[in-house]
Amino acid sequence: MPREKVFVQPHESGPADLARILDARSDIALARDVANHLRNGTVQPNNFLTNAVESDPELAEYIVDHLRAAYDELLNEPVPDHLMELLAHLYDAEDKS
Amino acid sequence: MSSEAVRQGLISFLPNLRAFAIALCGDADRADDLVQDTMLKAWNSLDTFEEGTNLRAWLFTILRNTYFSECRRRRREVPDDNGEYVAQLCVPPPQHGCVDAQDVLRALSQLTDDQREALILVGAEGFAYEEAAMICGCAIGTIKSRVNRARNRLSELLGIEAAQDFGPEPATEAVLLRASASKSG
Repeated sequence: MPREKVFVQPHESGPADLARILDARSDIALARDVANHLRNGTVQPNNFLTNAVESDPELAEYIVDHLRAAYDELLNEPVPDHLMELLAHLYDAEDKS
Repeated sequence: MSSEAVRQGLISFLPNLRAFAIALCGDADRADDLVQDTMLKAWNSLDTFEEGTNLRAWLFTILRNTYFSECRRRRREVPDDNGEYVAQLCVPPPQHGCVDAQDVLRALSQLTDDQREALILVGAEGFAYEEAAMICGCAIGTIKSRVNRARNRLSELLGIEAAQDFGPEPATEAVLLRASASKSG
């Protein structure tokens, strides 16, 4: 049975496409920059608080304080024994081989 | 890299990996499985790790990729199909100016996955934007905007829209005002 013809509108290359192409290019350049930074150990500390341009810096500080406090509670939870045992097992197996 | 160095790295970063996993998926048991998978994957792909580069970022990348692969597999799973859990998450903090860790974790769970991971990596783990971009496999600008959106959304979810929202509660403020007035008077 012959396939039905489907007519597709020609794709118009407009500003959105251009933005996407430029974005992809800048991603490649950024990825290269990141790799160089990581290789050279020149990564800058993040300016999580000082970069809070759109929001109130005091508010941003308050949010991050609470985020860190909540996260610290997770960090301070004891690591389950089975994870430590797994690590010891992996290490022993490596040692024996 | 020697297995001893990786072992030491894994031991020292284990609490961070676990905290990141819990913050990402919101479930301690699932987080432990994620950490376990991450450890096995890291151990089995030691040869792909470049010595002298960032072990912590490498481990976080493995964990994050494992989490999202699992999410894709579980795409059809809807754990909260009647919406009870979400409704519970929408309850604002009960006390004015008082936000506890559980409120923050509940609010975190309501962010989108990409916003949540960006906020945790940068805001809580203290990764540089470059490192967070590397871990998440996106551009630095994307990470910055995700962090900014996540921070704003978190303040909305916690019911904090301005600095005065987290000052002393009205009763305390009134006492403080009266005390300062009597002192000056």
